[in-house]
This record gives sequence, C-alpha cells and structure tokens, in this order.
Amino acid sequence: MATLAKPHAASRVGPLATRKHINSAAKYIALTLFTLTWLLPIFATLLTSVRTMDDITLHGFWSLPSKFAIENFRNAWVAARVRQYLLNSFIITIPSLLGMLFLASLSAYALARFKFRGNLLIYFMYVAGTMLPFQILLLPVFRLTNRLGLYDTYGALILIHIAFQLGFCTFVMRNFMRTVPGEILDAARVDGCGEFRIYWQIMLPLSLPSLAALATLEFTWVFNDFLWALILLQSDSLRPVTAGLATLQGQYVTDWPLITAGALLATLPTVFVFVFLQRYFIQGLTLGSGK
Amino acid sequence: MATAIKSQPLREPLDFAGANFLAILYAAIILVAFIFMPWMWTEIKYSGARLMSDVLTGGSLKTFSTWQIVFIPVSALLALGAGLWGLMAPHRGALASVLAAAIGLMGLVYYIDLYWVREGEVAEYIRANLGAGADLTLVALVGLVAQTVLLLPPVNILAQRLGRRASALRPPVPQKWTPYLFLLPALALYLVWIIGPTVYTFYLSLTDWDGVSTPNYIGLRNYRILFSQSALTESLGNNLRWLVAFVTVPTTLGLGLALIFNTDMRGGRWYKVSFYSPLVLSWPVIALVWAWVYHPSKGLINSLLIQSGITSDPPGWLADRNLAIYCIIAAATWRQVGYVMVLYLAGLKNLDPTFIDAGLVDGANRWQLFRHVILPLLAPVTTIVFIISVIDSLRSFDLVQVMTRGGQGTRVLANYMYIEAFNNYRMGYGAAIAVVLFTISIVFVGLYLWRSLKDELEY
Repeated sequence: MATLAKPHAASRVGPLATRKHINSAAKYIALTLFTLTWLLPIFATLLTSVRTMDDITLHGFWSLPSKFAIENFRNAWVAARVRQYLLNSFIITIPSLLGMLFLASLSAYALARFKFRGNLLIYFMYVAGTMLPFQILLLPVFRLTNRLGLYDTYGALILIHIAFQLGFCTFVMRNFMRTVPGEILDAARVDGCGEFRIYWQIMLPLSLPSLAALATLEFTWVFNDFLWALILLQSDSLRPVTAGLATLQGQYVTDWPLITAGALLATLPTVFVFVFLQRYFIQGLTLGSGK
Repeated sequence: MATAIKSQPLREPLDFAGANFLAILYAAIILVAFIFMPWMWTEIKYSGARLMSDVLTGGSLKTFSTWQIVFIPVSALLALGAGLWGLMAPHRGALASVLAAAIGLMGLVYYIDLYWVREGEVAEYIRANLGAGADLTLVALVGLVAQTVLLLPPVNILAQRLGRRASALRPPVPQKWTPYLFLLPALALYLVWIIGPTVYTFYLSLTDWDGVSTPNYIGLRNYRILFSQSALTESLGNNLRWLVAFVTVPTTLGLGLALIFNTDMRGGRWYKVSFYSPLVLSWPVIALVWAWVYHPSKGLINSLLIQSGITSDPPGWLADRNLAIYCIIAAATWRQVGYVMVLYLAGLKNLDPTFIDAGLVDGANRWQLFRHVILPLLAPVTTIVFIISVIDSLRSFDLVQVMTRGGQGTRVLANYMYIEAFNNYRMGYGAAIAVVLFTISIVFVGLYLWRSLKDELEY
C-alpha cells in the first residue's frame, strides 16, 4: 500500500518543494547539526570506550585520545564478565521467544477465527494485561517463584517473559489473522482438514510476516529487560546483560571507559538485530498501534 | 481428502505430519528439560542451562567440556526446527522426520557413551550426579529416533487407519470446544503468572509480609502509613513530571521530525535511523550513557561548560537534588522521541493524499494544511501516542534505578516500591504502593479499552 501511495506523495509535495528550494541548504545544515547533537551521547560513549580514565582526567573530556585503549573491551568481556551476562541473555531470550510466539499464535487463531462466548472478553483481558505497568506483579511473582522453587533460575524469567508478552503477541497476531481471507480456511475445512492442521499448515505460514516483525521486536524487549532479572535472580552467574551492567557499574564505579565499553558490548546483539532486520523492527513498532 | 482416500483404498497417500509433530514434541521436551529440570545434584537451579552457562564462561563446574554441553540445546533446537519445517512444508515431511531422527541418534550415542561406556573420574562423577532432566532427555531422544517408524509405508498407513478408527469410535470433540482448546495453554499460563498475581497484590497490600514469613492480615494499616509519607508525594510528583514531559516533548518533537522526514529528502533515511537508533538501547545502557554525560567533573556537558569558559562552577546535574529528576526525564525523552516519530511516520504514510490535494486546491497555506487537514487525520495516531506515553511514564523504573538508585529525590512509584520491598523487606507496604500504581494506570487503560471496544463492536 505504501508503494502505491508514494508517487502521489511525490507529486503532491512537488510545488511545496520548489518553494522551499532556497531554504533547502539551510534546512540541511540545521537538521544535520541537530541530528549530530542528538547523537552526541552515543559519540561520547564510543570515544570514552577507547580511552583510559587517566587520559580523560589529565586532558579533559574534549580532547583527542592520547592512546587507543582497546583493552577496555577485553577487560569488560572477560574480567567484568560481559561474556557471561550476554550468554545468559541469550539463554533467557531464545526459549522465551519460541514459547510466546507459539502460545500466542494458538490463542490468536482462536480469537481471530472463532465466534464463541467470551471471545472479546479474553481479547480485552490480554490487551489490558499488556498495558498495565508490570511492576504491580513483582511481589506476587516473587512469592510464586519462591513457592515453585524457581527463584534464581532461568526458568522463572523465561516463564514470566512468556506470560507477560503473551498479551501483546496475541493482540498483534489476532489482528493480523483477521485479515487472512476466510475462503482459504473454509476450502481446507471442506477437504476434511482438522482445525489444528489448518492452524499449522495454513494460518501459521500465512502469518509469517507478522511473526517476523513480532519476533524482532520481542527479541529486543526481552533482551533489554532489567527489572525482572533484578527481582527473580540472585546469582551473579545467571544475570542477563542488563542486570549485569548495573552490577558492573557498582563494581567499577569510576572506571568509565570500562563501563562504556561494557555497555557497548551489551548493545551489540540488539544493534545487530536492528541493522539486519530493521524493516521488521519498524514494522513491529507500528504493529501495536495499527488499530 | 477423506472421500478421496475412501474411493482409492489401494493407494493410500502417506502422511508425515504425525511423525513431524512427534519430532517437535520430543525436541520441545528436551529443551524444557534442559532449562527447567535439574541435571546434576537435586536442586532445581542446577539445570542444563545453568551448567551450560557455567561451562562456557569458565565457571566453577568443569565437569563437562564445551562441545558436550552446547551439543544438547543446539541439537534440540535443530530437531525442533526440522519438525517445524516438515509441518509447514508437507512435501518435505519425510526428509524433516529423518533429519530430526538423525539428530536424536547422535544424542543417543552421546548418552550411551556418557552413561555406560566412558571411564575415568569425571565420567564416574557425572554418572553419579545425573538428575531428572538428563533421564527425561534420554527418554525423549529414544522417542525422537523412534518417530521415524511412521515413515515406513505399512506403519504409516496403519497409524492413519488407527487414527481414523480412534476418531470414529471416540465421540468427536464438539465444535464449540475447539477455540477453548486453542486458548487453554496460553490462558493457563496467563492466569497463573499475570491475572492471579494482579489480584494477589491487593491481598498482599493488606498484610505485613516481609518476604520470608507468612503474610499476616493487618487491614488498611499499610495504606494509612503510605498516605502520610512525604515519599509518596515525591514519587507521585515525579511520575507526574515524567508524564507531562512524555506527553508534550516527544509528541511535538516526534511529530515535527516525522513531518520533515515524510517528504522525499536526500539522505532522509540516515536522519531517521539516527533518531530511532536509541530505541534499540536497553534502559540500563541509556542510563549509563547519560550518567556519564552528566558526570559532575568529567562528563560531556560539564567539561564543555568549564573548558569553554562559560562557567567555572557548573551544576552537579544528577548530584543536584533540584535537577536530578529532570536530568533523568531528559534521558528518557531522548529515547522516546524516536518511537513517537516512527508511529507518526507510519500514520503519515497511510494518509489519503486526496485530502491534502483538496486542501492545496482550496489554497491552504502550509500551516493551515497542517492544522486543519493533517492533524485531524492523524488523530487516531495521536491517541495511541498519548496512551503509550502515559503508560511508559508510569512504567519508569530502570533509569532511576541505575542512575541514582532512587536517591536525590528521584524516586518514582516503581522505585519507591522496589526500595521498600527489596531493600527494607516491607513487601506488604510495597504491595500497597503497587496498588496505588495500579489504580492510576487502570484509569488510562480503561479509557483506551473503552475506545477500542467501540471499534470492535462496529467491526
């Protein structure tokens, strides 16, 4: 649809653009300056991560590095255990993603394709659940994991991530599945195909675009979670990278080059996802607001 | 398909969905056992995932070598993938089933080696300490290999006939139950982990629970204490500041940027990427980045102020009680602008250009066009942006936790709750704060639900 609208947009903006032509250069300069200022914190982080604290103390922040200190990254990776924290993040994120997408697509299929008592009620329960601040669940879930013997395990985090993100995933997939033409499903039903099979072999393959967008977005969300890891884990060896960074900050209070190097390493997986799956990421962001 | 089979009884087509489904089931069992079950010792936290993490990062448990421990989850994921592929591409069902079985066979060889063949101190130790997760995995591996018997034509046809016979004998599941069966697994999880805890928060807020002993009912005492504390006013005020900032700054700035970048400008993509790149950073990373920017003596801002000679006594930013919360909110806003911009860009893309053409024909200038055509058309997006801003501002926690740990008068409700519950062990009191947070947010959630309920009923 977007590609169809494009030519219209160009022709529409045409006369406006010619009027703006003189200001165009000024506009570019202003925009570029603004954007660069906007990104200044990121540049500062990049620059700090390859310096030494002595260098910064001696020459001040606004000076060229006297020496390229790549060992900050090595120290953060091994000594500050960012390697371990990143691995933990993956151990938590990947099963969470698989679980939430599978369970949510099951529910979404039922909510999108069947008329039954309580359909809207369940749908709105999911929607309401995603919008509430999850902090209100902290204490009961803390107690629940203690009772189940899951406290301080990966399993506790995986389960709460799956459960909490179910709402959003179901919401998005249900609205996507509603757009699939019903004739395809009816044809399969006439051929004697069971409902579960229709879901697996017809609905799920058709929903791949929304699954991809959801997976990309949820990956960054679960990967970037901090609060649940803070509450449900105690052992340092289990912490995901977000909670690990907070520990690292407490440990190397004044060593900002090392802290920034750790922060940059911690960001790599999500940046990777962003660079290579950007289209899906942006789609995912707008999915939830599509209605 | 059923009728076709009956008319040609001699050439029944083979169906591999059953085999692939079993492959997925067994692979999932291995994965779940690896993450949730004890593999060594009897404590639940000594799961396979824990062992893997420890081994890979050179932790204390050196009983496994790297490839041995990575082998299990990776092969389980591969078998899972093979099964999924087989189900989604039925014409490759047999191949997928064989692949899954091959992976299972490798796993079995590995297990037989570990259980019975290998000798030496380490092997003895592993054998003596294998937990339930390892046993369950062995069973699932046998299943993973055994599902291939369904590929043999006689077995396959027999299984299909048995399946048909069983479904003919068994009273069919009533049509009206089907949706509930689809919903059941997710709903069960949701009830236990989300709905139940939400309700339980209310009960906890009426108790003196300290996190260890059993909660005792104490009536409304927590609330009486809570409402007499200045800390509540501080947190509520900070949440309100956050909300006002989120509703105003990112919305206007995001809309402005979206309007600029919506036109086809050269290099527009790079500008857009610059503004939404902060979205991929986690809150703790943003907190660290900005804490460094705000650093009182060496940070970006103050060293600029000092070195450029503007002032020799710059503000302390996060160290300054009057400024700290605004500094944190500024950092949060920095991330939020990109999000709002993405939402408005999507909204602008979906606008019907004929309205704008009509406006141009009527001789509207750019401001009039924006004010009377574009803005009203964007109203649905604005509502969403508003709701997201409110919710995100009520959810704020991470930045405050990492940047000031709730000091310098920067507590928001969530931090206040966290501090009371996990630093002071007053969990009942913390639950009362959670109820306050719930009450405020349910107003906005209710508004949103009411609005979308209207849409749904029209649909």
